[in-house]
Amino acid sequence: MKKDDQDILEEFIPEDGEGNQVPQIARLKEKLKISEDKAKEYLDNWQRAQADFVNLRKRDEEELKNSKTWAEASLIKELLPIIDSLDKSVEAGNKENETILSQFMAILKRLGVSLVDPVGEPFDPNFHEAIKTESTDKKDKDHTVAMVFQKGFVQNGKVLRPARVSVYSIGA
Amino acid sequence: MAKIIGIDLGTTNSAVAVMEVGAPKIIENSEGARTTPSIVTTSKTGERLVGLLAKRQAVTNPKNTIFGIKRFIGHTFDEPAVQKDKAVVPFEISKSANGGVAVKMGDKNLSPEEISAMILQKIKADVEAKLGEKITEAVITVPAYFNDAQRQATKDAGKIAGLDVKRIINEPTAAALAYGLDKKKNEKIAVFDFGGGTFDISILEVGDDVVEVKSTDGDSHLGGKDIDQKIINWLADEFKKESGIDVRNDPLALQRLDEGAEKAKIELSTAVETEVNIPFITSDASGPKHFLIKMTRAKLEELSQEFIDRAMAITKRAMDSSPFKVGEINEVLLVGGQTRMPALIEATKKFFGKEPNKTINPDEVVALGAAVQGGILAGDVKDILLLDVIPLSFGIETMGGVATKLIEKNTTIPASRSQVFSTAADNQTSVEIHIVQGERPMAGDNKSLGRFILDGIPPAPRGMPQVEVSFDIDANGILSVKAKDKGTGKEQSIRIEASSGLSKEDIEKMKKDAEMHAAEDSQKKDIAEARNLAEQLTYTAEKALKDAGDKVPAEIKTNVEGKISALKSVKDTGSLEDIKKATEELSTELQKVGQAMQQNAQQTPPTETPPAEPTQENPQA
Repeated sequence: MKKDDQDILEEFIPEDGEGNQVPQIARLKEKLKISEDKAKEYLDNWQRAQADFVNLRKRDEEELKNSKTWAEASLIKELLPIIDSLDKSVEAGNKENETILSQFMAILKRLGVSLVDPVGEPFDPNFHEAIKTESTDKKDKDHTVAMVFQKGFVQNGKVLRPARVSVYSIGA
Repeated sequence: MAKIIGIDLGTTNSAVAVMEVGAPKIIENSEGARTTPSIVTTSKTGERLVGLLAKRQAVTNPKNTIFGIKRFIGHTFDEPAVQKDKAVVPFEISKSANGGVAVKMGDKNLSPEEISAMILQKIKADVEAKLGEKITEAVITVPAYFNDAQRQATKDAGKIAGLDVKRIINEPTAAALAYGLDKKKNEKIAVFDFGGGTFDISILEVGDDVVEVKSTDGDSHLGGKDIDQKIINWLADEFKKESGIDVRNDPLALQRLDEGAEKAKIELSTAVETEVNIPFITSDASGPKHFLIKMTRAKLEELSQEFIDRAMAITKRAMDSSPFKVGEINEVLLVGGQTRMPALIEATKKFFGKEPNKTINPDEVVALGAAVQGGILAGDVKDILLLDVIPLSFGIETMGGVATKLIEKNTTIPASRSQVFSTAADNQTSVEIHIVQGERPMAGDNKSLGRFILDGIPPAPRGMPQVEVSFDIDANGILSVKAKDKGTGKEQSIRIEASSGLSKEDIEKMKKDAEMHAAEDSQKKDIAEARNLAEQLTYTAEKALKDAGDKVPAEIKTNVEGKISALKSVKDTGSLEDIKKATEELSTELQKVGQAMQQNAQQTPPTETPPAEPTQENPQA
């Protein structure tokens, strides 16, 4: 830049009588416009990058808040097979395990976890997963839950695990 | 400017990603999952469901639950592959008016484009909800072997979903983009994609901003599912041997076996042995039955061997039909969740003779690459914004010859960092700033980049002056270091050009050296720090005695002096344990001075408080 200014100063040519711009000045004006456009572009992009950064930080903070809940839900999910085994054990007649099961369920309840045990209810894929169908000829039984193989769990409205069920189906 | 999302529209699962501050990021769907099953249905209650919900009701509604639509898109009805698939899918396919495939869902006959559009629509809506902005443009990936009709049909599916598909790119190319390999010149890349249901191998060449597919091969019915099935069969057979019961007839037992097999498979990627433990898996007349079996990695490899062999045979075929020899391949990329299996990684390593790239989640790499392409098309990725990272840490030498890092390696540049240091001795009027580069804890083991002196620091007790040392690296990696005495405002600086001149080999060697010498370096640093602490404590103790004068009993004074000289004698030559011991003994004795002063103060008004220990690190004088 400095060099160009120097050149202009050394080669100063005044305007001609008819008010036409001298080439050097036109060149400088052109250069100035290009520089101004670039500066505008850079400022705009800089502001966008800053905005992106701020928005990302906001999302990160949100995610951080959610990560504790997510980690807890993750842990509870890992422990659910134990409840299944206890359930089955009680089913098989081990009365003592019933107290252990209720102990576990009480802890989960405190953590905002509720059970999904939908026998007889209409099948709802939001909370149930169908793993089998049962045939029926009764119209009012169609598409309702016949049997619950594994109970479902919901924590504060979010499904940790859907109930695994068999569903009645007409003519299945 | 609106974002262009990148979508991996898979046969079994789909994923979506978008560029965020220069890096692609997977966007979770409304169910909170990072992938969405590519399944669509008109449910028994007349609802349109896509993804996880559609999957959950599939068993109750097989005729209307459409999956694997990717196998039909862009095909004509009469093609043998379509006829083959038609025979096995539970939903109805027929010939459409223009000879293509029509799929019956509910009471409508839909084209594969319309079905795929429903999946894309859910993806679009979920991204809009997550990001809080409207999405109208996307990049969608397709297999490298897709022909024009299939590509156009995919584009049409996007249009139906309300997306302007800016580009259709090949899945292996997307993987290369995710790994940043599109920047290279004349790179030969093999992309090994072993997914849930299909296997694809592609040989690519990158050069002049263009990624070209040189050969492609695969098996559209070879995937992780096959391995899973074999594991389940083995487990079911083992259980049958033990109990006489075949749980394959019991849907819940089978479900639990499936989960157990999946967990075991994942665990055996890192452990050599695991257990499948399913209490109360079933029951018979004699009572409930439990299943407990040990599974080794060797067993898993034995079960997967035939599928791995098939994949490698196809890989060889792809290499043979490419213009390159195996030895010429520069990079191997792993795509698809199944590639997490050590046996598969080993097989690819053995075949190509090099370590494959697997640092990016193999389930997500294609979507991430599509997002990168989206970013390039949106003009996000300007050359001037391609920022580098510095490969090695920068720091200065501080008291005891320790290297104190100011800018950590892998920091994205340009970057500025500063830290305030102080003097190591009383009345020290100058500090020498010795700049080093590298990862080793002792400055002498790192690369020396330069040194300069800042003088004119007014005489003061050690630890009092505040010298701010600032490191600034510009986008080209040129380092400038400035030292400023905050008291006088006097400053000195130096500009180091050499900091960006290290070759790749040099950098690798320095990193390796740091790793190799980590143990002994750590010891050296421990001793240096112990010596520093000893020196500071000695200084503090001597000062304390001086300040206390005759307010401290002669006995305590003698003891402290004894501990001081004991510490002085081991400081420079003793072992770490000796120095620590002597330091601790002095510290204990010194506390008695404080106690004595307090007792004295209780009898007389307080005139002094015990000196605080300096905590700043001090540059070398």
